[in-house]
Amino acid sequence: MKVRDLAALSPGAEWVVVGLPDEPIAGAYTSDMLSDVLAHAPPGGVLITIQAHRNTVAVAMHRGLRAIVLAHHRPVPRDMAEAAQAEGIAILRAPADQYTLSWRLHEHLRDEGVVR
Amino acid sequence: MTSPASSPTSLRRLRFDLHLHSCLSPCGALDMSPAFIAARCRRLGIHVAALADHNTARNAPAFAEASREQHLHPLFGAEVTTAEELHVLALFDDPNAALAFGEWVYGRLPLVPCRPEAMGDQPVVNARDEIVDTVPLYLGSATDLPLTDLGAEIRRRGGLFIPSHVDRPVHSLTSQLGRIPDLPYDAVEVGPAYDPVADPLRLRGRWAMIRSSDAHHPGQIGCGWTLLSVSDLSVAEIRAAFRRLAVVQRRSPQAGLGPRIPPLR
Ligand SMILES: [Zn+2]
Ligand SMILES: [Zn+2]
Repeated sequence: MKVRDLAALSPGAEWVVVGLPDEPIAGAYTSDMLSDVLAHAPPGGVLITIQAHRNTVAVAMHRGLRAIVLAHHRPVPRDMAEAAQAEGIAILRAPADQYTLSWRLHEHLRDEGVVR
Repeated sequence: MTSPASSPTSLRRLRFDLHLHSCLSPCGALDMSPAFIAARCRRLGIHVAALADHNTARNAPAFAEASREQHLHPLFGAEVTTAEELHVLALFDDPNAALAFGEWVYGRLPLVPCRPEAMGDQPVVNARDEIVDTVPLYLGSATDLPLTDLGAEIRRRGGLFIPSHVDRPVHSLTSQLGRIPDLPYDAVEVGPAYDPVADPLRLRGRWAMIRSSDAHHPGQIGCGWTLLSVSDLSVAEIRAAFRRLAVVQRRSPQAGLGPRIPPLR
């Protein structure tokens, strides 16, 4: 699965920052507590969260994440989009909730053997 | 008879903005130097202004000097990000107390470096707008300090404990905890959209509600303030003024609050 394929996770999902669409996804993490993300998110992975602000990009950058998927179609402040743009981190807004996004992404990554 | 020192006539009614960011905050505009902020506050009729950068107080000395030149009454401190990832103002009347507190807070940040090209610059400046240092760790991170511990430490160090923008959808008591826990806040800051009459968070009478600018850009200075009647500008007196305001707001919820002006972008 590549970054560009994330849009298929939820009907109505929209790209805010496309990032590096052809990069492969190496895993995923779901959390709304950024200190937890900072400690546990897998490098090369995707973060599913509702935390739509620039600090999320800082944490994603530090963990080497490829994409942030914002649940509940949370609006993205401009400074968050700009920071993600500068770092090549994709941002997708999706109407689905964190649970739904997580299991759908898990199905894809499991089928590809990326996660168990 | 009351003594002149404690009589109501010795109280001065002043306009307070207790929440301003300088260029040192990664999200603050570079033209927000302490000298610029002091001059702008003064020009816009703010009498008392508190510098509260994210998780540091290192621009406090410059703000102290610039405020002296502008005849502005300064307060100093930081806007701390707690372990719950919510924002709390910690304010002091002494720049050295603020500096020491700020160093303690900074020591509780994770070791995430600031990448200026993506996250913004973090310059420490002097009162002549010269950059004297830059802060290496990203100041937008959350500390490992739980809200209750932080509040106790602020009070122990003689500061004011004020949760920021409690009604905001990010980084607030309501966004992170879903409610306003009953803690000994000196006041609670509400955002420009909060209606103190409807008071959906039921703050009225429990704590003084205050409004501030939370200015990160020049156009936001003056967009939020609170009127307080004080006899001096010590932390103890401001705390007492907050208590008086809370009593007044029980009957007149708008008392002391500046107009509901959304900040300029
Ligand atoms: Zn804040
Ligand atoms: Zn702030």
